[in-house]
Amino acid sequence: MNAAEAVGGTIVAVATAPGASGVGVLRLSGPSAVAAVDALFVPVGGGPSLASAPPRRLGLGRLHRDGGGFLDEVLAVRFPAPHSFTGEDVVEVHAHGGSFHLAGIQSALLESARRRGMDLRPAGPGEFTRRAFLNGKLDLTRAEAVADLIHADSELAREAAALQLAGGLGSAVGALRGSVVALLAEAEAACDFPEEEGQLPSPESFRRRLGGCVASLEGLLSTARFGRAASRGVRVALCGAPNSGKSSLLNALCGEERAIVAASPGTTRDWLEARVEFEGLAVGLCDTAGLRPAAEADEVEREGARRALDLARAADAVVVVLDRSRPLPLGALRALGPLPREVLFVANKADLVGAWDASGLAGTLATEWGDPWAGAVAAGYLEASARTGQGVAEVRARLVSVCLGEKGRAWSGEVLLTSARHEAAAREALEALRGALEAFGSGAPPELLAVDLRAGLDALGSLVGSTTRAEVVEEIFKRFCIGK
Amino acid sequence: MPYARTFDVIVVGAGHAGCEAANACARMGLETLLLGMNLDAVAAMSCNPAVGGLAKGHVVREIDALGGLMGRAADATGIQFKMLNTSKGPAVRAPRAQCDKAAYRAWMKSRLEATPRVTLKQAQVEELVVDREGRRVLGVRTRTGMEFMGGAVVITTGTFLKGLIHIGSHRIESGRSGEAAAQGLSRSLRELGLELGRLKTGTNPRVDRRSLDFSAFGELPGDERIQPFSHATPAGSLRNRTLCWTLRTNTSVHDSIRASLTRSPLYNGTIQGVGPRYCPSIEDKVVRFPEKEWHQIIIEPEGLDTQELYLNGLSTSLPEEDQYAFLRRLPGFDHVEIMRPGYAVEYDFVLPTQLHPTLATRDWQGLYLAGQINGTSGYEEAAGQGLWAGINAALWLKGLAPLVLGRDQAYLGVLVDDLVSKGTQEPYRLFTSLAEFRLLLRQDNADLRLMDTGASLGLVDPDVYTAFKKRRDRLERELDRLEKVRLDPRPAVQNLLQEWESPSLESPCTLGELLRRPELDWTRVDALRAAAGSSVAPEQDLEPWVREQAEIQVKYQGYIQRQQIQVAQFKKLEAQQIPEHWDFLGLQGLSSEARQKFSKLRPRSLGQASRISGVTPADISVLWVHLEASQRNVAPL
Repeated sequence: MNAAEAVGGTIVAVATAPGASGVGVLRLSGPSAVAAVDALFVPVGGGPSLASAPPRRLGLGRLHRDGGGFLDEVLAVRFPAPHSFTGEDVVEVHAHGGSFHLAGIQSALLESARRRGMDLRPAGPGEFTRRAFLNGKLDLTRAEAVADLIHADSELAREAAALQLAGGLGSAVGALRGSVVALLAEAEAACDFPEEEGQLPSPESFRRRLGGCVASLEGLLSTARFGRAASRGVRVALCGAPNSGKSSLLNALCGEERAIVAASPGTTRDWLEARVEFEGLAVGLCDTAGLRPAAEADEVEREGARRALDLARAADAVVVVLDRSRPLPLGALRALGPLPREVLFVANKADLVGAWDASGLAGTLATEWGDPWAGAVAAGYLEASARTGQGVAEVRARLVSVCLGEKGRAWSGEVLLTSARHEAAAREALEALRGALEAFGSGAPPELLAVDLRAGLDALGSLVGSTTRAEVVEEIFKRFCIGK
Repeated sequence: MPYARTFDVIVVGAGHAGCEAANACARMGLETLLLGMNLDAVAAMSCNPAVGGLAKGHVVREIDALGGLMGRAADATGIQFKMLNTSKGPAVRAPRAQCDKAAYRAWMKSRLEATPRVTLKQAQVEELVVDREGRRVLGVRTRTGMEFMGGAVVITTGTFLKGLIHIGSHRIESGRSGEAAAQGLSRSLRELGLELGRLKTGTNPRVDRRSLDFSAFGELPGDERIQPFSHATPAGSLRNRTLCWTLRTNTSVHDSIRASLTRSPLYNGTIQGVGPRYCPSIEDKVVRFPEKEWHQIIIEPEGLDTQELYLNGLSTSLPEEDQYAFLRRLPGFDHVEIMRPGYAVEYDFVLPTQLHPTLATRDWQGLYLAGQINGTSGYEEAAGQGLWAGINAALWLKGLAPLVLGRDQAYLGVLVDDLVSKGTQEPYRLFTSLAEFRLLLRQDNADLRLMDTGASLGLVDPDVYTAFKKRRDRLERELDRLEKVRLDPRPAVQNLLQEWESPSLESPCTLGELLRRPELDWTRVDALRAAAGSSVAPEQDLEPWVREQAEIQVKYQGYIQRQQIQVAQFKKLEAQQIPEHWDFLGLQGLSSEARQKFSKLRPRSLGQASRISGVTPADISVLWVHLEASQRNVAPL
């Protein structure tokens, strides 16, 4: 952690998400929190000042600038230390929403505090949570889950974070750690009490239990892809020839006008992303520049096409949009090439007379991308019309299904690995335990097994925050955003 | 009235810890007074007649590499030698020897008498003489009124502080069978404000060899090829001069013990001290593992010139007649004659969490504690602490930086760190599993780890050190040869590989790569080299140690490297030093348990803090944030 960020004093930040909203909350934490607000707060109807108002109860008042200018009518509440989120004196000001408006209130508070010699300053990233942590209000894994909950921008992300906050991951990993501890104890006993070796469980039992640990870790790791999708959302690239209707399809999928749609080919030169939520999953739909043979394109279009291809290779899924009313765009398909991701083929403009059909597409792809792609067409071919809305709901449903993957489709609230840190720690543990299993199979002596088992245990410990690793703390706190 | 001569260091107690402490101080150039209650019991083995064993044998090798005495004494007086755990990997192998107790005492006493600057006197210390205002120890006062003054005092009084022996309902104030307890010193330590606890340990009956029927026992011979403890002892110079014998208890013996339990001070509530779980009395074994039909007993001779035999595995404090009753039910023991009954002993110890990692007390300058007084058990743990305390007392008096070995450097480092960071609830003994970097802390590389340190302190004999450096150079050349010489897949090589059921070569391969195959050892790899026609032969007359060391380092390279990575991670937290007068009580955010423990134990690094029991990773993170902030001169909050 950067200690420069951890300087004392009282901090203030906007606690609600940016953008227009009915209500926006400013939060202050630290010794001057109450005084800083009271300086500008005039209770309505002659009520008490914030300092003398009962704690944890909202009071109505008007905020004025120093010198009298009216700012807003607000509700204010104080949470005296230590019974607050951070463990310090905390004040929340519930004002009218809007980023600009709230920033104005914040700067008025800062300006007034400066004049009065109070140490109020804007909060650094993660600072509220860090204070909560330093005051013993949150442990590490819970702090991490809070960060996830704050970042959650879809229903699935919220569920996954809430699950972790409830300790789901902790108890799943805890059970696994228990098994590894038992195995380690046996390996250690074999080292230190060779005369008692007869009392140890059989090698067969050791191997079976170690194999069981490896299998449960593999199971946990298999949730990582869906866990990532659930907590951070997915990105889907819409690719195709110019004027195949990518932007129209995106708009139809979103249900509102998002991308600029025009009849002349090559309108979308860069790519545009629309963030939407489909069935609880956060999806970034990316509209990309049309692909056509390089000879026909100008410099700007070629750059757009290059970016489109990069995106298609990095996205979680790709929708290849094809105009069914015109011949298959061989140039665009060649440019796209075989893709490393899940692919849906959407025959757009299905309301017009078709120039080809699914088997024609399958044949072309088998030639251009290789034989297996004929099967991919059979699995991922849909017809739709962005103009009439025909088939759009099916495209949306298939897209969600593809992005969730098998794990996601079958998910019913089991523990998920949602963060890259969790995944890395679980992978490290898995590698260590696989090493132990392999060493055991090749007859390695117990003190070598112990090295692997300890490494595995250590990795599992860092996963749930029961092992101290310097880097873990830094990593976690890097992820907090201001005011949460 | 102070004695006319003043000393640099006064060592109180001439057991295993005291002898090492006195030797180290004297060899480091300091005038050293060694006081023993009974000069016929210098370096007495109160319990079993053996040195070494798992983790303990490692410690003896470390003591020897640092220039201590225990390894030489064990080699000189050993009568049967064994390397334990040979079926396992090199890290958990450990040397152990049966020693002749009388010869061991005699060797150590004459060695100390021959050491310049050691003054040996018989005296019972009753009290410490201190400067209360300066919080500094000045000397000791004996029971007979003598006052000896010195710059530092090392107390190594073993189980003698308020020692109380139990045999059935009989209680004797004694630190060891037949010797008086030290009452006054315990009081004196309490008066200095040190917190004392009470522990219990026990020992086994000694019986007359002529009363046993040896046809009922199995024979346990020593090793054919003996590895000495001491790096100074020439390989091949040691011989086995005795057998040991093995037998099992039976249900009839167990029934007899069960019938006596009401007369056992362990079970009728007489004994309050906490005993060691790893070394249970036979009463404990019978009660705690009722399903076991037998327990292993090993008969070990107490020496060559005595009929006394030690019954390993039969520690007991039952009444003497009850000891006869169950012993007579053992096979071959029908006519057993006990020479000394087994007993339990309770004694005071000083909570070692009051010590600096140098083994100096935190509150009294110049006062060092080592050995069983710190809550440990075992001759080796005691000797190692004695050496450690002696070295640090000498360094302190000379105004030099202390020697604190890390957990990644030595078992001694693990031992001392455990004691001062965690303390102990039962008599503490070392296990290999307590060393998290076990693969690096092998008995075979104790010299590579520590002899440079021992030599720089002036403790290692120059000829021993010279021989070591030569050996180390040869090892480096041999390792280099193994990694550089490449064999082509010639038919002669493939034939040999096939014979040894080892996969044939597909491309040229280094000797090291071949040596990493489990089925190949150094000798086979050299045969392959000869078959391949390589002329880069090993150096002539390569001693076995170099061959074995090279083989271990090459074969376990992967694991050793991984442990080295773990050491690097471990050192990150160790490197986070905590200032000496850091105010733990004022730290926000710590759990109250952590705050109390930190302010009591005063850890010196984040790593040490993390090993304190009851401290959570969250506490460590909080402490770490505060430390970072203070180092950058900003407030943490």
